[in-house]
Amino acid sequence: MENNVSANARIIDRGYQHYDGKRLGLGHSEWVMLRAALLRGLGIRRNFRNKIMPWLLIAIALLPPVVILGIQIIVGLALASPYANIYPRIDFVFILFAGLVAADLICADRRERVLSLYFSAPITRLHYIAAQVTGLVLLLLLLTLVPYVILFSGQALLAPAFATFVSDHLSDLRSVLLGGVLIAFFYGSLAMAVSAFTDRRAYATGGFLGLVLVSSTAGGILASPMLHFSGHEWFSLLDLFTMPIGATRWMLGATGGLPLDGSAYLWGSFAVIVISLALVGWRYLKVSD
Amino acid sequence: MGRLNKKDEVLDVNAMLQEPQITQDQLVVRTKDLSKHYGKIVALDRATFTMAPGCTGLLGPNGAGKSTLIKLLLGLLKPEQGEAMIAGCDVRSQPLELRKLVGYLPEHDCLPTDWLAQDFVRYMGELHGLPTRTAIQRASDTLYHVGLGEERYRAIGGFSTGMKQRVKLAQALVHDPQVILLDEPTNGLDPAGRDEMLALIGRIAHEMGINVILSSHLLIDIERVADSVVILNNGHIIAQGTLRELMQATPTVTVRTRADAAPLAEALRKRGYGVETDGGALQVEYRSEEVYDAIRDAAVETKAAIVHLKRHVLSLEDIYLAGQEGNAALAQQNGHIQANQR
Repeated sequence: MENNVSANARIIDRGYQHYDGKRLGLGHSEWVMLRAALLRGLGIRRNFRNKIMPWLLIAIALLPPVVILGIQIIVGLALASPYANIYPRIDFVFILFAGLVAADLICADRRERVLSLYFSAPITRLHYIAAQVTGLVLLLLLLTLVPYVILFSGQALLAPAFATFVSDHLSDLRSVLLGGVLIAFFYGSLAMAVSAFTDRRAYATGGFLGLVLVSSTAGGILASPMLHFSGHEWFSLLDLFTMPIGATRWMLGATGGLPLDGSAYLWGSFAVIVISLALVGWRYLKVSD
Repeated sequence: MGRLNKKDEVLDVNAMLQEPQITQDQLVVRTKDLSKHYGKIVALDRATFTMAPGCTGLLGPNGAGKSTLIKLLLGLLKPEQGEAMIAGCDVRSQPLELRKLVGYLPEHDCLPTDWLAQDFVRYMGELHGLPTRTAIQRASDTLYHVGLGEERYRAIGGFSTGMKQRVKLAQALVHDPQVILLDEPTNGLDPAGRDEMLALIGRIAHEMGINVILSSHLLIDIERVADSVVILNNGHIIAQGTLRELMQATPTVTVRTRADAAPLAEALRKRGYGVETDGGALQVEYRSEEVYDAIRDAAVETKAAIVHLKRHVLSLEDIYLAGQEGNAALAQQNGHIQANQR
């Protein structure tokens, strides 16, 4: 037996091996960067400290659907269309998540000068930043879309007639999907635009939260009817806190409390997204590696 | 072939001493009139050179234009003028293709501190186009080859400077490039770490078969591992060629005589050779091997007794210093041996 083992023993050559296989293209590199951004944003393969905030915020975002469905199961009280009322109560979670994760995704790469390595790979600067923005938007969808899809699905399953519930509330589902995507793009692109101008995570997160809060306060004061000047209500478009939530509530048919027609918030949101993405792209074409 | 006579053996040795003929296709780098300016500052001025397979040193003081040249070769900067090919790719029109075939180790710290070494090297492999499974396998292997086999599942932030340099080297190698560009890879290393890093670079170039372009301002690093060298100063190429060529190419033969050397000097001048008196010795201009015949004939004519006859061999430092002092003419005369003329 021992002889057989000896006869089969081989020295494994650990010498350098050349690679003759296929080298994949830009699509693969883009997916690799996107996957890395998603894992990084969730703190996966990082220490415990990096996991706390993203998962805590995701858990908080999941609370309303869980509570509403729980009440429906236990008490039997079904809310017909609760979505429009949830967004204004939970938007701070979206904003905090966007501010924290955007800074985490791109600030450290510039601070630690890793970009010089990434840009020496067969990718362009725009591919890099596109992957980071897409990663953040997809992560934000975990908060802005998934809970409401769960709520809708749960309510449909608990309803006496599944098909009837779905057909009766199809417009709600469409608005929830569009609203979730809008909010994710809005806060994702805005947070990236702020983070692109500093390499310190704390400044990026603080700057983004400050911008949203200051704009909200300024917009609220200037749009106040107490100021008595014509067109004051248009200043509510300065309010970055309310803008995407206002647009989503308008899509869900809840227009109360908004100084302007909901479509103005929708167009305002589009404008902020476009400007933010342009700023991010411009910044990354210029940024030093 | 086993029955070579003594004459044949001598011829073989001579043949071995000659550099192999390199075709244009085999050249690792080929540039022509490559220029880059930052405003009014000339970073690189009409640089024309070639780099043969093996390890090529890119030597020059800080600010000479080495890093600019490396970034131009990576396609990260656009030249204002001229052209360059690396690994068969044009840097202007094929920047993404060339980066699949080229690895890069920057001079500065550039590693993400909260990544595991294995994860980061694998990530860089995937970014360079390796499929995921291959990238995982090659990341482990490459980290093993650079001496971090045991530490590969540790966070990079906890590594020493030497270990970080090894991670930088591993990420440059993981995708099996044809060429790696190493920008001051021994920066910040202690003597032992530098020694190990240079040994590793030598192995990469001479055992792994990967062409290395080693940028450094340290002569000793270049002398130790490079086969050939390109010397830069103030954005100009002041010398290029193999180390042996550069060091052996010399303008003078030193001659000492027992008595006064003046008649010998005069006789050599009559034969058309430049002669300078250096203390008691003569420095005779070297143009070809025929200078030895001329010295012999002149010594017979003047009855001079030669006690010392030696061709002056330059060190790389002589060439480097000549260039640094702006004496480009001397450097050119001494060492400007175009690799593509070999």
